[in-house]
Amino acid sequence: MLLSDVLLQRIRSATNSLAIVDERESWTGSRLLKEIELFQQALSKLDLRKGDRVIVQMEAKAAAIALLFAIWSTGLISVPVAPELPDKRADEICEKIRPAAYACPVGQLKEGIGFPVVECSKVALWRTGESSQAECPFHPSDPAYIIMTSGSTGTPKGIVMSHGAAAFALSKFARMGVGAGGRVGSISPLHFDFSLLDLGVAFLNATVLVQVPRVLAHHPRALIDYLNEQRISQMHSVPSVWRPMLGNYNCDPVSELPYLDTVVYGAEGFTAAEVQTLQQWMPKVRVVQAFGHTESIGCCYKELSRPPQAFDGRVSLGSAFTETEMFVLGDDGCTPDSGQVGELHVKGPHLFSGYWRDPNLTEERLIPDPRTSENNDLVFRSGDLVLRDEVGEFYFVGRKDFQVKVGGNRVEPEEIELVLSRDPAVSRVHVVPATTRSRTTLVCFVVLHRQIEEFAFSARLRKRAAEALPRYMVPRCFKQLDDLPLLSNGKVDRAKLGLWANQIANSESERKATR
Amino acid sequence: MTRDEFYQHLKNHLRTLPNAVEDFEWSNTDNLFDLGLLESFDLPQLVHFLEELLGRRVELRGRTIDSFQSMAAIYQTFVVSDELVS
Repeated sequence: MLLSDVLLQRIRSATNSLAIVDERESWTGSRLLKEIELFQQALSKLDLRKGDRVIVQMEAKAAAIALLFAIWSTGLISVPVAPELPDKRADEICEKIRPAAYACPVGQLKEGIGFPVVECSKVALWRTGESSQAECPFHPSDPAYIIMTSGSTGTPKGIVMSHGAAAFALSKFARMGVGAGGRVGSISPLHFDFSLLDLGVAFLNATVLVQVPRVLAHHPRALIDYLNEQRISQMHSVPSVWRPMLGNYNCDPVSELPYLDTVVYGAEGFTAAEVQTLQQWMPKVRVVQAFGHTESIGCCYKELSRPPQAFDGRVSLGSAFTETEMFVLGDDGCTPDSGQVGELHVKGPHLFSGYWRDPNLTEERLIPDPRTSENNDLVFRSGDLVLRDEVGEFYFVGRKDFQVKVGGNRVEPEEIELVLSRDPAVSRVHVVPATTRSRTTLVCFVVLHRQIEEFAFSARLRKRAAEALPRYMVPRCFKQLDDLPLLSNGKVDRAKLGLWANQIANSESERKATR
Repeated sequence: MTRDEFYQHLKNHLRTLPNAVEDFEWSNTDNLFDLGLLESFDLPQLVHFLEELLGRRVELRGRTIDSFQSMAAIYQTFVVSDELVS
């Protein structure tokens, strides 16, 4: 079945019920279905073929969701990108994906695009390139969407999810449930697949999806007001949406958030202490942690106990969905003892199809099950370092590579380094994460060919990064060094850079607090 | 408060943020995100500052993060437009 058919099944059986709400629109199921039909007609005017990619550069609003359904239901592949993406980055993605069509709000249409534009529900759609080669019957393994993420080779990589895999994962996540008459709040942008989890949980439980404007994440009072106004009972977000409220915002959620009964978080973690604070702050609210990778949308969720089950301050991730498997292997290929760290592997029908036009990386990450030669099942080598406790619960420890999460977004520092190393003044560059007050930022250490006044070089490199990378990938600080610290084997001492980065981030934090 | 007074107050606030450098000057239309003077993490504080300065709640509905991209955009969005509405 197409992903759209799976997600719309319950909407079709209750068309008079409210289905989706955003800042301006409140659509019933029948209105949503009508809008999907209008977008299907608009797409047909572009003469697209099954397998064609459509880049969707829109905020997560009702019209954008209708467009996604229209794309999936006609065998096309959606490629959502951030509305604020720098042009250079958008060009790079187009170069890689070779989309046949592009969509953005009419109001944001740039002049002189040189193609005829079809308008539908205030969305502009236009052809940008050639169609795919051949028409063939639909199969669940056909791609439904591609999520672009940071790539360690210096260019963004596209994670391809099939209709079958996405439908499977969402059906598993939907089992976390939504209370009767519930309304699911979603604040994640479309290019972040957490938004699909929100959509799946809401629609597969026949409840209302409420799109929360992203900008409200920056104003606790306004967010609380919106949650109440929209009677949101289940809020899905990354932890950073809640942190400002947990930290120092003077609010009594028991009286001020009367509708909220569930908080679902994912894409990055709360510490066990933060979860406890959240639970004390909202004693009647269940807290659910979703864990996984864009390569499978996710592989598990866990309703956290009070206090949460934890190991060394880390919250338990839970266990794999039924019909799927999570297992840990050490460097020796064997299962580590409990308490020992190994790499998390994931197996099941929810796995991605591969990285878009990157067979080498796909082969590296989607591998035959290393534990057996008896079948051809593929396994995702996640790169996550985890451990299991004595009762078999998983705990996230870190990454095998340098990937970090910034505000829930995956970042490969190597990609930033490559962009910055193109500056002729740069000799060597390393980007490392710094953590201050549970917030991860990026610090860039640079060795230049010649000394440049500190602010001038910071501004120059920041501009270069801002022109080519999403905002969350632009380093917070740039520090000039005479030379990079090295280990005895000649490699860069990233641990030392990490320590310095934390010192810099924390001293800035203190400086700010004292001003 | 005049536009120039607003810019001066805002500039003083931005100078308290982690990336500010003492003697660096920027124009009213410079992109604060691109210059690194502002990050999305700083927005709760900036909104709080604006509310204190203006003596009223600032409205974020219908706005995007781009409403904060320059001092001119902030003035236009949260002073001029909001005052027209109220």
